[in-house]
Amino acid sequence: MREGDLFGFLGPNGAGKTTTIRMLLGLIHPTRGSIQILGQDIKHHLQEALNGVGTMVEGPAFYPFLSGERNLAIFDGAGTDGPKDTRLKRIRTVMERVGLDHVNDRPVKAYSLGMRQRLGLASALLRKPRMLILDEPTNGLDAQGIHELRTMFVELVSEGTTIMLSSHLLAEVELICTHAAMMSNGRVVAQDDVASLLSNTGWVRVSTPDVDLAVRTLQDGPFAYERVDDQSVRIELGDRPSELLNKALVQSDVRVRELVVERRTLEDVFLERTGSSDIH
Amino acid sequence: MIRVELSKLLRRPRTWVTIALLSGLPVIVGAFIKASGLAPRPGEGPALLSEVLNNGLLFPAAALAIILPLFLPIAVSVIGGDTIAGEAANGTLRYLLTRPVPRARLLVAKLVTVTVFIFLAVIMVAVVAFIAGVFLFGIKPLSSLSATALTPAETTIRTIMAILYIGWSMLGLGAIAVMASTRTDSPLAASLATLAAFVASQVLDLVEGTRAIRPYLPTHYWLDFVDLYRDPILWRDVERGLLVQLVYMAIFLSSAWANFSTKDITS
Repeated sequence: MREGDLFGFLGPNGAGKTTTIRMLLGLIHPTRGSIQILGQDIKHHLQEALNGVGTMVEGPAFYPFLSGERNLAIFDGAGTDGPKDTRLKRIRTVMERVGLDHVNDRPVKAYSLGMRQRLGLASALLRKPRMLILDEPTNGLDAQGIHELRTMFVELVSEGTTIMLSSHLLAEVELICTHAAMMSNGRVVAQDDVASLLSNTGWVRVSTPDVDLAVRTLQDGPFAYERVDDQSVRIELGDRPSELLNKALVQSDVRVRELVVERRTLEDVFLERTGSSDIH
Repeated sequence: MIRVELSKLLRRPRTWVTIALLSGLPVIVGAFIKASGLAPRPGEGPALLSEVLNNGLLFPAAALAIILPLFLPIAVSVIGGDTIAGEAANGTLRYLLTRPVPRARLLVAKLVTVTVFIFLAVIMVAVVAFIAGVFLFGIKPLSSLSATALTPAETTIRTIMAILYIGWSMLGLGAIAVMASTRTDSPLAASLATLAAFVASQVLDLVEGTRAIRPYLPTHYWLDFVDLYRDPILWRDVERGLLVQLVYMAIFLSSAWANFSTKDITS
C-alpha cells in the first residue's frame, strides 16, 4: 500500500481478510513471509510499527463496567505514547468527531451497537495515527452513520492519514476507495487502483421504445450490437464517444429514453477473478 | 501498564464485593461464638478459633484460618483465571496488544494485579477481624500455643507476619491460575482448572499413602502460619512453605510466559 491511499480490502467471509489483518497487527504469527508497516519490519519492531497505527478488528471491545471516556483513558494509558497532559482534551476531541459528545458517564454496557462502533473508531483515532486498519467499520451503523463515516474517512485521508478498510460492501468500497485488493480462499486475486479495476466495458445500453428502428439503423453501421428485449439494445462502442451514437440514433428518429455507459462494478471483477457467486 | 491494570482492578465492583464477603464471613462466625459463648474445643475447628473467647487479638489470625481452606483459594482462582482469559473473552485482549503493549509487559502487569489483590484481601480480612475482635472479645494477654504468653505488641507483630505468610502462600495458586488463563479464552475454564488443582492438592494431602509427596503439594504448608504464634517461633515448616510457593511460581509463570509470548491471538 502507498501512504495516503484509502485502500479497500475485499472478499467473502472465510477468504482470509481477518486473518491477514490479525497478522498485520502481530496477533497471529505468519508461517512464512514478512510484513512491514510504516517502514518497520513487524517481526523485530512490532512496537514501533504499531505506535503509528489505530485499529478496529472484528468489532470494538470495551470494559462494560466503565464509561466511554474512562475506557478511552485506559487504552490511552496502556501504551507508552499517550501523553497524560493532553489526554482529556484528545478524548473530548475524538468523541466529538465520532458524534459521541452527548454521552455522559453511562457505562459502556448501556451503549447501543452504533454507539459502540463509534467509540471503537474514537479509540482508533485517539492518538492521531498515521495509519488506520479497520475491519468492517460500517457494521451496525444506520444510513446516516455510514454517510458520516464515509465523510470522515475522506477527510482523514485529505489530512494525510492512510486508511485500510476491509469490507464486504463492494458498493461502499467502490465509492470511496482509491485502491482495492480482493481476496479469495486465502489468496489475493486482484490488486489495483479502483479506477483501473472499474474500467469501462466499452458497451453502452440504450433504452428506447423504437428498438426495431434502432436495430435497422445499427445494421448499416460499424458497431456490434445486441438486442436485449423490446425496450433496449446494447451497442459496442469501444473508445468512441457515446454522444455521437446518441446523435446518430436521434437523427434517425429513434427516441432515446436512456443511454447508460456500462461500467464494470467491483462485483463483476470479483466474480470474474474468483469464479464464485459467494459475495455478501 | 501496571497502573492501568490496578486501576481496572480497583474500579471493578466485583473486587470489592469479593473482599467484603471474605471479610464478612469471619465476623459472622465471631458474632455467633460471642452470642452463644461456645467456642470450638482446643484442637477442633479452624486454627486459633478456640482461643478467641479469651482474647480478641487472636481474631485476625482465626479469621484468616476460616477463609484459608476454601474461600480465599476460590477468590484467588477467580481473579487469577480472569487475568488473560477474561480479556480474551471480553474482546479487549486484541486492543491492548495492538495498542501496542508488549506481551511481556501485559503479563507482568496482570501478575502484579493478582498479587495486589491477594495481599489487599488478606490485609482487609485481618483489619476487619481486628476491629470485630476488639469489639466482640476484648484484648487480654494471650496464652500462646506453647506455655508462655505473648504481649499484645508481640501478638500484633506475629499477626503481621502471618498476613505476609498467608499472602505468599496464595501466590503458587495464583501462578497456576495465570498459567491456566493463558491457555484458554474462557475465564471460567481457567478458574475451574485452578480450583481442580487446589482440590486435588487438598485431597492428596489427606489420603493415606501419599506421605512421600505431601511436602511438595502447594497446599501442604498453608496452615503452618500458626507456628508463627508459638514462643519461640517454629520456623521449619514456615520456611518450607515459603520455598514451595516459590518453586510453583517459577514453574507456572515460566509456562505462562512461554505460552503467551508465542500463541496466536484469535480472540
